Amino acid sequence: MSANVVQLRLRESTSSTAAKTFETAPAGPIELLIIQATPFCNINCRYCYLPDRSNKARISMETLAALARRVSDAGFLLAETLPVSWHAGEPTCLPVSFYERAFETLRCGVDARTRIRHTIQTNATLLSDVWLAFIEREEINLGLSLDGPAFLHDRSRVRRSGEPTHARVMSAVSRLQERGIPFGVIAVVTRETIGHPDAFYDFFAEHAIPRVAMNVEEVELHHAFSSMSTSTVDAYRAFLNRLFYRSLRDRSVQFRELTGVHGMVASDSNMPHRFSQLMRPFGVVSCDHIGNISSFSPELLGAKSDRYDDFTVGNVHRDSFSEMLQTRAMQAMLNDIQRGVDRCQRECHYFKLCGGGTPANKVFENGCFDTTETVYCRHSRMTVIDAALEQLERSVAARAGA
Amino acid sequence: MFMTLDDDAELDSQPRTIEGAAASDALPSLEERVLRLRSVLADSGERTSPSDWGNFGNDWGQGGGFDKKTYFEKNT
Repeated sequence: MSANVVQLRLRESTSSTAAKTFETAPAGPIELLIIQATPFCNINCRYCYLPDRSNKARISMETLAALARRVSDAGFLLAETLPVSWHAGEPTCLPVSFYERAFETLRCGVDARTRIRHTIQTNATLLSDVWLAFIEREEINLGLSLDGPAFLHDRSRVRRSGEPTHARVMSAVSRLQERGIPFGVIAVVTRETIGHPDAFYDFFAEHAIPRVAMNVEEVELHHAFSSMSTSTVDAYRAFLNRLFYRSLRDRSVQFRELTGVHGMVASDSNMPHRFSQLMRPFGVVSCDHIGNISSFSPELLGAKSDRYDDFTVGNVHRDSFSEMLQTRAMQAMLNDIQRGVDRCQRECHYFKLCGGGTPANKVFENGCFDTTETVYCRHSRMTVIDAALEQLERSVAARAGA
Repeated sequence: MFMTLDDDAELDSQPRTIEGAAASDALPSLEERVLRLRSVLADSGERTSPSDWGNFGNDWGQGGGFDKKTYFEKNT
């Protein structure tokens, strides 16, 4: 068995003795390396799931060098491009000088044939001109967290003092636009948001923000309650239908959700690409500030579990990725994730367009990977697919009738 | 090229199939709907490659910025 392959032997849930061998699961290549520069965040969003966001520790250059060496040594993890996302804490709490050293450390440690592409997802309250110059110089892919107009954004995204943050974020938006720095937006959608589709759309259109992704408020880690539940599915569908209709009509704002389904339809892919990253070992790799490694979803870093050794498969100061692949925690996670995916395949008619959901949400909502439907997938998979297909069909019908 | 709706296309409450019939007339599976849409788009020459739309970001970012600058300048 090669180093990058895990042979999964799963017991059928209907039999205590029969074993079923599933297809081997190739590990990597890394499509997203998430690095926690610091767990600290300067603001205190109502829906934040990070358990350690008052901790001002930062990742050391030694840990970054060890991470780069481990990734490079495990050649099976490297593709032509290594996307690195600085996340799980507010990255801009650390100075630009830290990232200048960090980028150089990674660059020196990774195989020279691999191009590193950096992404920063930020609350945009600390984006100084020094930061903007750095983003421009390094061509960092920038994602802003912005929940729409102030009356929606400031309900949740507040400082530790409770002060709103919308004005600061919009100041950063203006300065980014003045400098011609491209950025995307992630908006967290709550129960309040879905009552205001036109205000939501108009806000992004009027501020010339054309790239918006919507993350439905989730139950995760320290955020044990979400305003979105099974009772909001129909309202969310109506919300998406309105957004997608307007997007297809005037194209001022493009939504990741609609674009993903449109791309799936217009190409020969079975599902939006980002869906499949989350079920492959080391498709997504998360490294916390002390070098602990997890896979499948960064939300698993910091979560507690006896069965999965707190979802940590190793540490870059101690373990190679090949060794991490064989750990008890990785084997147990892979086994249970595959069982869950198998159940999705048997039970859910969205399976071919989804692939089996997001493992982290299964754990946080249902208590284990070996489950199927979640409130998250009701909103972020099923309802997205329903609304996108409906609006794409309407657009085709409208053109045919024109 | 991203498809657009005509300006005068109305958003009524009745779901439609791609032929314009009411959805209650027939309930094709999701897979059938995708295949039919795909066929219509192919006939109109409207196809994309995964590299065009590929990864527009996941729940933790990665979608905005310089990597997609050309795509959005072309399509918005």
